[in-house]
Amino acid sequence: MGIEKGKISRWQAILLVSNSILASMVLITPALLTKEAGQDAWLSVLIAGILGYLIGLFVVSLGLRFPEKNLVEYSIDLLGPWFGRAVCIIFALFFLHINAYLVRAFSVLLITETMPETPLSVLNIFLVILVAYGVYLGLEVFSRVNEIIFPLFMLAGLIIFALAAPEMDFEQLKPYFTHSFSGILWGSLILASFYAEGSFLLMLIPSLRNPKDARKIVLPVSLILLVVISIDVVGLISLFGAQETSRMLFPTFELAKTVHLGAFVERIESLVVGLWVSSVSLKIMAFYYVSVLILAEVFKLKDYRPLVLPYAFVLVVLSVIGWEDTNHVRFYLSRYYPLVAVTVMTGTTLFLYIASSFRRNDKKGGETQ
Amino acid sequence: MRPLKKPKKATEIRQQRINARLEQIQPDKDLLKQSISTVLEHNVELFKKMFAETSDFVVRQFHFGSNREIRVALIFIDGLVDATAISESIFTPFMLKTLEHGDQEIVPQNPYDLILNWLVTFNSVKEEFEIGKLLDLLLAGFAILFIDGAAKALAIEVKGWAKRSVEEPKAESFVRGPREGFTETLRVNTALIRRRIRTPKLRFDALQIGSVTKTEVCVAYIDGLVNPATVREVKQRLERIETDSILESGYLEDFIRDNYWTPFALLDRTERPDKVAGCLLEGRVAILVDTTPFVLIVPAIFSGFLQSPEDYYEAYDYIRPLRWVALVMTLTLPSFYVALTTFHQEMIPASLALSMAVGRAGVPFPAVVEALLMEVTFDLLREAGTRMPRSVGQAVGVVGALVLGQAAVAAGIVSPFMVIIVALTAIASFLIPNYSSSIAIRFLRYPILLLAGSFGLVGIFWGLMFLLLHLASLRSFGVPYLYPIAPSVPGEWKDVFYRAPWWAMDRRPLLFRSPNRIRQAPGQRPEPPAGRSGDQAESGKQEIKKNENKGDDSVS
Amino acid sequence: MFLKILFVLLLGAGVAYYEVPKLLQQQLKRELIVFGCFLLIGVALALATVLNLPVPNPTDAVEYIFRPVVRMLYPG
Repeated sequence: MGIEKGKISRWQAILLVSNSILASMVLITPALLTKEAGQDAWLSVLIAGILGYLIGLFVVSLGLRFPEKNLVEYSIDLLGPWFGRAVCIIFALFFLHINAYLVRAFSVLLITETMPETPLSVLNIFLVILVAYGVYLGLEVFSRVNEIIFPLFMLAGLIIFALAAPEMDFEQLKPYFTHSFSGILWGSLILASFYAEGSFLLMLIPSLRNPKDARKIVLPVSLILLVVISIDVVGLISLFGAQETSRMLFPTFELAKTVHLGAFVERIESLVVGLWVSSVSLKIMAFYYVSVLILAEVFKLKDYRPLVLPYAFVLVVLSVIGWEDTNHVRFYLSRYYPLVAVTVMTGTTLFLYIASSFRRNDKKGGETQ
Repeated sequence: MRPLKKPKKATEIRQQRINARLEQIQPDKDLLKQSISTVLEHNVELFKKMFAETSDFVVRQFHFGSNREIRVALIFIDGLVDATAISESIFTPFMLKTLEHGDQEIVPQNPYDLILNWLVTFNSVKEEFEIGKLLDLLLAGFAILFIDGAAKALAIEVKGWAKRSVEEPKAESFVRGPREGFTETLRVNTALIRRRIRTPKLRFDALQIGSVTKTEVCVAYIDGLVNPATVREVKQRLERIETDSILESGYLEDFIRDNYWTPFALLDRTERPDKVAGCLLEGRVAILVDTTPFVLIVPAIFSGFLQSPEDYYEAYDYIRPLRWVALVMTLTLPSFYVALTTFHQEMIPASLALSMAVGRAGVPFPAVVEALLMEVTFDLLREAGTRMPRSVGQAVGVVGALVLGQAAVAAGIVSPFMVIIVALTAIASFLIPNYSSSIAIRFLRYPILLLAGSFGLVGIFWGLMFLLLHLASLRSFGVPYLYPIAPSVPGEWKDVFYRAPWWAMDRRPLLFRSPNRIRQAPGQRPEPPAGRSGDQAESGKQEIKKNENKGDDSVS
Repeated sequence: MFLKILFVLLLGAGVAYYEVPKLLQQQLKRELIVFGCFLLIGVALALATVLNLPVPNPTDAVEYIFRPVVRMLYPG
């Protein structure tokens, strides 16, 4: 058994993984997708849904080969103490980088939309304090909070889309199938790269109350993601049109701006930002936690908590210096991020999977001899 | 790694020193373990020495028997005992009856038996010989009778001090429901609970806490409904306490709560016996403390603080959801106002924004300062009103409403909108039935207000997230504080967000881990009489079923 | 500038003050060492950022590694 003593239920795990993937996906991907696939983006979403489901099954089947052990323990078993640790550190650093980029995206959104005068670093520190507090309290605690926040987040999203529905023009989805198949496929690959973020589950499988349940997490999560992102993409395209959506930085957020109910409820985008803050902070907490936990396991510590606060320093610095400006964030996001995510996440998983298969064959061979 | 021995030793020495100090206050320990002597004068001298010149310590020595040859001494604490009872039931039989009985019987070989069997006409008499125990009994309101020549003394229960009678509780008042409240006397309190739960399974396990005050503490629970582990845990925590005094259950609360660094109450407390009975029936544990009407209930959960016992008596209504709204309002209403006026003016509808701007036109402060000013004023007024005598309290209310509200607006220090907001918040805060958690929520308004003033809506959500994380990390005797909400158990929400009718709540709440979850037979929803409904056979069947289930109602 | 440096140092000191006694009490030597290293790295990075010194940027590294692939996928 690893460090973490807290256990989470299957339901909590489903919500945690869904939230961790959705929080940024829902805001960012529609613009990327429509750029690649235009009004056929919904097709990319469907393909990505299937791809994501397969990725999920694959990741979980690796985890379930060692249901009682976490990522670090079996990488060391499989790849030896040095190489195994190196792979895990790459994993941890990758999550650090994602976190830095998420924190940055948070402050970018805040600065562009509601408080242009606030310095970037102040907002970054502001968010990281909250996140570090959550990680310090532990997996059990923030997955419980997620259990409250995620359904609220979904409910709010549903209400906003319902309010925007009268403005939508579903004719904008036509003509069908005009974009090249390669574009649609590339779009779905981008989306799938966000699904790949779910591989942080590898670190959580031993913390599940019943590790065998991990396989039963994949389908509900894939379905939640598929439904939400389909509504998101279809709604945005029919509201703004594919062209305009692709030019926006955070199109879902722009949608909130158009919403109004009578003359009393209008311009609720600030409210959406607020809700999104709770959701994205939970996402960062999950990745922060996994990253710190991996590091603690790599250094054979008894507890991950001593690393939480120092990590916060690094996170704030990286989120400030990592990207020059908003354009750079956007450019990195659309060009590099999907590639990096797919390579690191699926790459390491695949690598470990192959290694474990070899090891298993070795063992079988050894036993028969 | 080499274990560092030094700090351990230091703590041990400190512990010993503290224990020695605690014992110093007590009379000599060895002495207390000794038995009393057969010589009457020795015993009387011993107790006289212990109490020195204390004015309420009374010794009454007298002789009786036909020749006045039997010498006895009665000692008691004046004020703790019932003086009439002593004179009627001790002095009268001793001094008068012995004369009436004729001379032959009253020259017994064993005066002790004679006294025990013939003379002391009290129902509760204990025989004791250990000095320490006699001392405890004496201080608990017993009268001690020493008899010359006997190595045992009689402790006679003649308790009778000035008590407050059972009155309506002041802090929790109802429209509907029993009007009895606990008093300062432990026995009266246990009786109030016992009257509601007539089963031998209702247990009151007694402990004594406080080396000087020796306060009687009772752990109440219903055997078979409560989780034994909870009772064990409660007792363990209570027994760990080493202090000189417990004057109120609040002292205990600080000692046994799971996490001190939280503004939230991790134990529920009440002065209503009906609430305690209800909680015991849910499988919880109550801690009664002598000398206070406030009873602690563990484990406590956050949603429990939004429940009032009255919810269960008055037919089910919309008050529960309203309380949740009130909770959110208390916490965030002023902050929302500040955030909207400072950062997000675009969210305010145009017509409203105009009148708000007019109201704020002359106000010299930013909205945060204005809000803080008014909130602090309100808290001052509230505190003044609570602690003042009732007549003055009303005056404080008038001053607050008229002078501060009206005059502050007229003077242009605050906008009328702010006054409305603060007043609304204040009223909402009164909707939270539990006083301690209402204070906690009101206190948390301030940090959220400051966050709203510096970061707008995002600040509010940040603050709420922080609060949620904190709440989710709390536990009360092993039960997650946010229980049926997170970890979410939708099946238990019928007593959280609304109060389901009694026939629907056929199971005890899961969270207290009661070994017996069945509260009543399911399916007792009242149906229209058989004759009127379409399917007569169906309802007839249900009628029979109901009768069959009746036998299972009682607590097993 | 001076204030910012002070802020970073104070934060670092605060974190050390919070964690070190706990670790000492539990006699976790390894944890103490790893914690110290991480804190030093963190504070050093923060100071370098405040002082506008060049800080190694992982984004640059990532972009350097993946640039050929991106060039191939998005010509122009």
